[in-house]
Amino acid sequence: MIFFERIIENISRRISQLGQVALVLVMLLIVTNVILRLPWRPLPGTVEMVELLGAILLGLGIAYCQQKKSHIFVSVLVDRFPLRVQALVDAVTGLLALFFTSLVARQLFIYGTRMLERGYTTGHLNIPVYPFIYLVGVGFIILVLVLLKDLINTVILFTKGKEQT
Amino acid sequence: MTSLQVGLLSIPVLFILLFLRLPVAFVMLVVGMSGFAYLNSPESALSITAQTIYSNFANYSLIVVPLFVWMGFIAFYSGLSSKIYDATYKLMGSLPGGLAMATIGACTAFGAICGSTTATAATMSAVALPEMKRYNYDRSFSTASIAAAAILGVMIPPSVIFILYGVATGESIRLLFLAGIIPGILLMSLFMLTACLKSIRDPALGPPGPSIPLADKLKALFSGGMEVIFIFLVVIGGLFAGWFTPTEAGGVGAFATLVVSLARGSLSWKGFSNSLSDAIRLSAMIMFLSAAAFVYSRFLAITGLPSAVATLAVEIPFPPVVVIISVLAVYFVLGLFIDGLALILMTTPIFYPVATTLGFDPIWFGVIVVLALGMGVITPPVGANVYVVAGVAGGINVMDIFKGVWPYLFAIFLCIAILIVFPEIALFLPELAKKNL
Repeated sequence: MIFFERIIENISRRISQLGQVALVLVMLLIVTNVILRLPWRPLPGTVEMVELLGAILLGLGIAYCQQKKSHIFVSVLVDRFPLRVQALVDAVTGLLALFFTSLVARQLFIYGTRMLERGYTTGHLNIPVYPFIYLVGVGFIILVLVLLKDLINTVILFTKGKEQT
Repeated sequence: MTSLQVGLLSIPVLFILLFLRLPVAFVMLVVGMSGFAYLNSPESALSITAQTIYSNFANYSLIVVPLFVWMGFIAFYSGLSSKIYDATYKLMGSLPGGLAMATIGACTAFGAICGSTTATAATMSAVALPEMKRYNYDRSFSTASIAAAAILGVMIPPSVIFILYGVATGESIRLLFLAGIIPGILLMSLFMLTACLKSIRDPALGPPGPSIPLADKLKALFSGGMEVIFIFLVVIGGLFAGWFTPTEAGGVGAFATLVVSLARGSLSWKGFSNSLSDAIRLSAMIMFLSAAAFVYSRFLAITGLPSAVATLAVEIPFPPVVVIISVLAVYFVLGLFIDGLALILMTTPIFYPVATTLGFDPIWFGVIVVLALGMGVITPPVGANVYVVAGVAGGINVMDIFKGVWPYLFAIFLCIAILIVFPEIALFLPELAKKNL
């Protein structure tokens, strides 16, 4: 389990670093576009390149966000429960999140394939859109793995009554 | 069950899941998808969800969120806050409660380059708390002042919460940013007045700091304030003048903050790398939340609940102002438990139509809602800012900070009341901008 955990953590962190590169590129593209536009003319295709980079930066950041427990949640009630009851509640809600996220991950690939079949590209530079939808799908698969890892940990916590070391 | 009944039923389900500690984004995704599947078909629910998520991520207008979030983190890691504080401290430090007033001023200035209250709270605590401790400020008073003043981080543009309100309602982010400025300054003045009056009544709370010669004051203002004024003028000035779109303002703002930090030599490689990793983490959180909120609001739209609530609000035999005050009360109560970012996305599908149907200006409504949500970050049990300040301060009981917060809470109430009576305060700059464009 520890081995599985480490691998998942590593993957989610590594792919989020690709997202970081995308964010820097977005900034540079936008600034270049503004600078070029004022005296001359805008950089062609800025909008669509920024959009595709946005898919990379957010799609690949989503698993890391879950890994770091950065989502907003309301814990005022569950915090008052005994530890094992907390683990039980987390296991049930975790299963719910896992189920729905898996469905979304699968659907993103179906959506990407549909866009591939239709030959859908961006308007200006004719970049195919489907690889970027697939990439968001990959991000969601990693998110599913992180959720699975968290779920296994809560189940262990529930059965043993304490955190594994 | 009729569609409307399904819509009504979804609300208690939403709250049950929320209080079972399921993250808000997943709550809205689960409820939205299930409801849509029930009313329409599972296939269409899945299809709409996947499309909504992709189109939220690959969206030129929404990329403004990661950019402004990153800009705030660059400012945070490069220690721009200490220079700002140095300036306000020299200007106001010698007054009663002067260091607290300086902190409030510094939060306002830092808010001009950072769009988040918690980042403002964290960075200003690190800078201002040691100074207030040195001059024997009451701990409850000093920590509460920072927690409250950090709210100014979202009133003064750029502000992530205004962006989300704009995204959820389709209102102009540019006009929302402009609308926040004067109310932000009004709130700053009310906070400063609160700190000053408290210190005059009880001098032990905030003894005056050292007096500083006028020449030094001007020098500090010039060296500490200039960079922030430069960044603010480029970003918000450019937006105001119509030189660029909000997304471009975000890109230029992040770039300008990076350049200023590098020029000062205050941003290490580690700080830069942390700013990026935090920005990705937080942006992914916000954008996933916003995508989930879109799925939820599309479900709500087919139930007809939002229009039913709006109709009810019009037919109710109370003056519109009373309805709006009740809506604000709901925000205040929910804000006690739920973070403002999540709350604004969850509730706008229902309350925005109420406000517009009653004939209130949607931009003005955005400003007072953000103010009402601001109260949530400094009130128990969830007051995020209070926990952040307590974390940085160390060795202080959270309840002591909450105790010090009350007068500031009153100041926010007062600010909302003033804005209800004089909506022009919020709408003056947006009207001016509309005329110029």
